[in-house]
Amino acid sequence: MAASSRYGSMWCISPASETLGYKKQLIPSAQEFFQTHIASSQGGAVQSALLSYFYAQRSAVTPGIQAQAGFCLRCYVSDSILKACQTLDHLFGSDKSFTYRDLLPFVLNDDGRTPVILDRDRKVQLAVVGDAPPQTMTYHFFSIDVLGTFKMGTQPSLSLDNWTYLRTKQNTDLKKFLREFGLQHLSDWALLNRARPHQLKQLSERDRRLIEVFHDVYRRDRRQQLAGSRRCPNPSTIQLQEMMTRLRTKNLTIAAGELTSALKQLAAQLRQCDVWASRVPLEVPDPDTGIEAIRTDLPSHHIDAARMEQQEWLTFFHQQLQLALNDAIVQGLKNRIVALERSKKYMSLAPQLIPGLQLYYEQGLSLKEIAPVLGMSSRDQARRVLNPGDLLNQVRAQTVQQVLDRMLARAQKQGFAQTPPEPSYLRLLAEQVEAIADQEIFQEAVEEMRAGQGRSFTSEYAQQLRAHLTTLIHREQIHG
Amino acid sequence: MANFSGSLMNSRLLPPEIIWLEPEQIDQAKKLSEHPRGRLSRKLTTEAQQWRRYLNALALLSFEQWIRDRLPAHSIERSAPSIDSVYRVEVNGFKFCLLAVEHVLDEIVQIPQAVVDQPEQAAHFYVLNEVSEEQRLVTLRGILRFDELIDYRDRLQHQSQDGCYSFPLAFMDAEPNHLLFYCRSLQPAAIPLAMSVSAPTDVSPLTTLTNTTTKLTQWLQDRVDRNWQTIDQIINPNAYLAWHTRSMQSDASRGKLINLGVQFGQQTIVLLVNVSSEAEGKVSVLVQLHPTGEALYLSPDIRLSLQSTAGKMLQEVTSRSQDNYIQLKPFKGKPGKRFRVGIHFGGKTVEEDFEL
Repeated sequence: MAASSRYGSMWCISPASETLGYKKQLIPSAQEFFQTHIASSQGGAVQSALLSYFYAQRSAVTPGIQAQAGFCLRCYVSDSILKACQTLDHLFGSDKSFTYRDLLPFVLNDDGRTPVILDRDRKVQLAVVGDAPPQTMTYHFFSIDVLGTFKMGTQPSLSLDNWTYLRTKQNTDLKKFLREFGLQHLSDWALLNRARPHQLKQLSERDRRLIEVFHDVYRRDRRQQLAGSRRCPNPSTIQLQEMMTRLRTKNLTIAAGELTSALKQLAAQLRQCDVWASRVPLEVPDPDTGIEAIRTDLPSHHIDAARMEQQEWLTFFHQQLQLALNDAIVQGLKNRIVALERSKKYMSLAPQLIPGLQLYYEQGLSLKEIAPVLGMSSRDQARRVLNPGDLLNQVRAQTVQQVLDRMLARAQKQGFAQTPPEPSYLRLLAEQVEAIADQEIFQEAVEEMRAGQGRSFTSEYAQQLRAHLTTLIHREQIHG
Repeated sequence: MANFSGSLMNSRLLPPEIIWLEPEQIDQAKKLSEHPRGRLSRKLTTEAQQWRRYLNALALLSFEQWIRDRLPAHSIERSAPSIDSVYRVEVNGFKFCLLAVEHVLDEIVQIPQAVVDQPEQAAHFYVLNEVSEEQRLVTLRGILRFDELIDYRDRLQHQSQDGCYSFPLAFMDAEPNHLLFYCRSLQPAAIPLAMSVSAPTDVSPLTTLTNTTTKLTQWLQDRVDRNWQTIDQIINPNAYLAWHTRSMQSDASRGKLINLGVQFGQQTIVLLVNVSSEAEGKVSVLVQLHPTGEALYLSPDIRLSLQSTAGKMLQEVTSRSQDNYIQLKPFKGKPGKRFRVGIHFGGKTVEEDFEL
């Protein structure tokens, strides 16, 4: 993405777009301001210039100008807010009860239309309406809040991106939401189990002892149980007895019957996500972060676009991408079947993979609906057998690998890359291939998979996959 | 620059790389993490360490599966776990160090110093596995190449804390597939692991011992200098080890291998130190000297001594012809108190300083 486009369009919440929950909105006044006032600035100076306009004293520039610069910055910040929500989603792991879409309403609440400036103390948000004096807003945009609290040029400084990330994580409403839903998918006992020593430092001495004793008894037994039960069960009477005996040797007496509730209370405390967060954010001590520039002191392996006759390379790339996707789907399906056949538990279900995927991609059935049709015991089993997400990941890896191999061979032949390549060169090339492959193929495939109820699969990936599934089923019918 | 983005955000927005654990794998991990060396030494390991072992074993089994599914033609070799019970596997000559965490909400990755700094334990890739025990799944969170790790460490002038290096999660490459690309397109030599590796047997025993003070109270908090190993990593599983103390659960036991050189032939001896907390904040210490390897007895005339830091001899004991081990009389002290343990044999002396 060109630097300027981050200042000219805003990510706005869009509950109507079923898949993503957000969409990009062009902000003409931001684009116009950028063209007329900023376009000539370079690199990091762009952001400083915009911030200077936005923070300027009322005597220096008109509120209209301030608000226009503000639009550019709000566009920029919206990108970081969106990424922050997605990062939080990612950090909380799989199988949880929320997604980034649930977080967006708390922080991605800028309408992209109202011209807004800040008062002298940068605390109050004021709406600018024509030449009338700016009016205090009744509604607060989180993006403006981020800009109002950002300290430009202080040492040590955080980049605006990282500042936005931290502010988003600290947003009160978002925190409240995470407190309730962030760790909801874990039982109290699993939460206690996974508490690490440095997280317990924030608890009282008594609570720490409780957890220690719980760990000694409950973790030990959990390790020794057979893997029958998945969910951590309530501690048994015997376990509670042992914990109490151990607590007594630590000079802590808890009445019988109170231990369970004390532990549950402790778990409730651990659901406060603050306990899990790092106290001191580890800022990357990169002197350039403030200005989003590419570091110059690192060995860089830029792929020299000019030397590579870009157009020719791009054509080559796209040809390879299409070929690779096709091969990767064939290979991916084959790998899945081999993996299932190798597994004692799922061997018998291996023949269901292809029909199962067809129900998923052709008829849009959910895994829960597919399970009984194919004689599987549960949604969980259907998920483990069909695992459309993993298939997608594997196809993507395979696709990127194949394109990467071809690109590398070509670059080596033309003398742009060493044989074998440098590890950093390989990573950079892989990242570039991934970026384009995701943009053209996989991002869409992921989004439609995430859409849930009533989705339809129209991406190129889904179309190609369906074609292969049909061929395979056809072949099966002829030979079988 | 792609590998040093400067942003705290670094996530991969595709479906995460998840490995579902099957009940068999969980049972297998339980077996792997069980102490192989019998009841006595099992007692010497704390529950926290056992749990860690279990998580590490889950990470191992899931990672092996992930690689097997993706690189079916490659052989996977498992190495013995390191000091911190971290597992390592080797695929086509590339070494992977498998780090297990239960969550990444603090966005900090801790890597034991030993698996980075000790050439024989270092790996080409460090793989962060988030183990969700209750949900029975493992998520591959990210990878870090050895050269990148060293580069970050030196750039940040990073000092280890409590035996670990801490890095922001964002430093890790969030794309586990890159592991596959490296394995297919590179040779292990492309990522040099160390400048030189000296054979430990050639080094004089007196020079291998660092002249530092070991802080025993930290052991009770499970923070241990990497020169000290847990007992079960040192002793021969078949060797008789009469090791018993009261209240095992709270004890921290560590040993250090001391090779007294030619006089012993191939025999090495191990200094075992056991600490436990006592009433009024005191710490109780038991010091023993054991043979390792196949040997059942210590050579005769090895002297074990306890001195104050001023050099005053407080205790000593000498091995006889058939001693399985020798020990100093257990003693207690307050945190901060210092003392020196000496091992004397054939005119040579090895000394180790401790602080409670």
